[in-house]
Amino acid sequence: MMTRTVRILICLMGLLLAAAASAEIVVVVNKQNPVDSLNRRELVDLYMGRTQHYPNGTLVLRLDQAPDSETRTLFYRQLVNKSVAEVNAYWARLLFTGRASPPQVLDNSASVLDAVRKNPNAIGYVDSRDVDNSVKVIGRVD
Amino acid sequence: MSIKPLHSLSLRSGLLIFAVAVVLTVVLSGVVYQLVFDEQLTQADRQLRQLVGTVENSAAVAAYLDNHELATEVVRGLASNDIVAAASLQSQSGMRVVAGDVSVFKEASQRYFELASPFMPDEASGSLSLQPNQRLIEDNARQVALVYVASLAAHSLLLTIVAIALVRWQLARPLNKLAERLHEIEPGSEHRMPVLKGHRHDEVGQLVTDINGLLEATQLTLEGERRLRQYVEAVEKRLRLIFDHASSGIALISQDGQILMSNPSFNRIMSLEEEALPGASFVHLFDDASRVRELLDHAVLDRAPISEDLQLSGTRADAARWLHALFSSVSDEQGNLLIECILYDVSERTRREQQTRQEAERDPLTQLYNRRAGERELQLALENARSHQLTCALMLVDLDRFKPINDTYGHDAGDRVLKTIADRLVRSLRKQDIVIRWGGDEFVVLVYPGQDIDAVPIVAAKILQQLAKPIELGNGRSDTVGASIGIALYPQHSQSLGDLIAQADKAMYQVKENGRNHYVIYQPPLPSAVGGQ
Repeated sequence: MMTRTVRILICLMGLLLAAAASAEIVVVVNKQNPVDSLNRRELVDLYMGRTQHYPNGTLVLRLDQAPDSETRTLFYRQLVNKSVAEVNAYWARLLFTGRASPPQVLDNSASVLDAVRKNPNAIGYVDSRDVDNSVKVIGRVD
Repeated sequence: MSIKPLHSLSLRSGLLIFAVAVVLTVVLSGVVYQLVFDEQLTQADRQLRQLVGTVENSAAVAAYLDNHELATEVVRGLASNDIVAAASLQSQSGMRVVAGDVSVFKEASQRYFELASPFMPDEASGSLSLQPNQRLIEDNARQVALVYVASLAAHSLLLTIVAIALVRWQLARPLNKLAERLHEIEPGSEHRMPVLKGHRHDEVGQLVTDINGLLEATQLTLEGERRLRQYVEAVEKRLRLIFDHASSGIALISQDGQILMSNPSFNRIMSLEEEALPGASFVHLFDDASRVRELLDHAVLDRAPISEDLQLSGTRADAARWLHALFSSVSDEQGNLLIECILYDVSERTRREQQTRQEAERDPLTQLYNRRAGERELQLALENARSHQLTCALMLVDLDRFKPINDTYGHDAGDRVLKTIADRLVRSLRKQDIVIRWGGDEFVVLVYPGQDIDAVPIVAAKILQQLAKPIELGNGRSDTVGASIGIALYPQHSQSLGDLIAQADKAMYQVKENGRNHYVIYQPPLPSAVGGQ
């Protein structure tokens, strides 16, 4: 008995520790959005401006976190292995062509979740600890 | 100097250096040109890759986003480089943007660069194609290579000029000078080569010193040879003088008896025409050619001089030409044995000797042997008879009536009688018989009857018969003399000449006592009679 209790405890502690060490970023959309999941490649193409539509053809509204937020830094590092500055430079290079535009920047995770709840075409990313049932998680970045 | 400019050392060495430099320069130029040209092409290629490197990010993004504007900017930027003739960017999804001269695109020569996706390094987003401006690149490469080659050629030319100048100043010029000086120097003269300034201690200086040593040696040698030649010439002249003017005949004769060389005296003595010489036969000039042949052989075999009096052929006995000849063998330069002959005319001497002997041996009136010579001849004849075991008869002939005729007709008539008697004696006898005028009207005759003793009386009778004939005394007068003959025989009567003469004398007196005009052969006394007397 004793042994089994200890084991369960150790497992729980491990899970907790893992959650604390690598905070998970989740990609969320409006609950009414028909898209249920996006793979990594589709996420990259969306966020780096290659496509402006969901696979079903609906125009997409991309949302970004605050420029110096930890979430944004983590998101781009894990998605395309680039710093926020590098991603900014990328957009700056494309700015003059008038053909591509960066995602819309919001102040924090709450604003992102709020915008996603209100706009069926919106897509955003937040820390997995901030997410709730009002939005649909369609992908994870880790 | 007689050296043609084309053959001069400096020109030839200069041309040689120049030719070598040209060949080397051409070969090196080819290599350098190729190396530089290739390097330039490589460099152009590197440049091209660097160009692509600078735009690679933008190009990748443009391909990733199918961003026409960005792509246009990239390819235009690339095409604006003069080494790029045309550039094209293709995206994975089919976008293609081109800049530059599209018509020059060739699959074979264009450069192709893969563009990775800017966010998914494992995935391609598109590609860049570049058409290098090959003509420009090659023109540039050629130009640079040519500059290299030109500078190499200039470098070679400069070095060649310096090398030619150095060879000319350090070697050709001093050698040329030496050659000129040496050419002017007569071998054997007292002139020497001057030491060239600045070349005292180098090979040229050594050469001058050695040449002067040679000149010195040559001068000494030539002077020595000249003196020797003069001496030899003088000696030769004197020898020639001796040879030409010697009274003796001198000749060189080959072993087979041909005259090889002769002096004027020889030709005169031998009565030889100049045209017949050389090559005339020597031995046939003499009466006894085989004897001369023998003498020549002896001279060769014995290696010792040999001499003899020899009679020339073709001369009569009364005018015989006699030569005293001395033969000795000599070797010529090739080692052949030759015979040297020295001869002089001894005809006069021989004749005089003969005359002197005649005068000493002969009775001037009758030309018969006188008593003294006769005795010697008799002695020789007896010795000859003894050695050949011959018989001979000694006859003492005494004229019977010489004194009355001499008294009656005078001395001249007496001389005529003696001469006539002498002639008749000689004519009635054989050649080998000896006739001697023994005294005033006494003659001694020695005859060889051979083995036949019976021939002696026949000979005696024949003599008596001849002497009994009348003798012309001149002026139509004639008379008979007659003779008494006493005979002694050798070896029957004695072996001594004195005994034989005494025995013949005894026999002759016997004839005188018994009425003259007869002959008696000596009768040796019987042993008893000897004992009785």
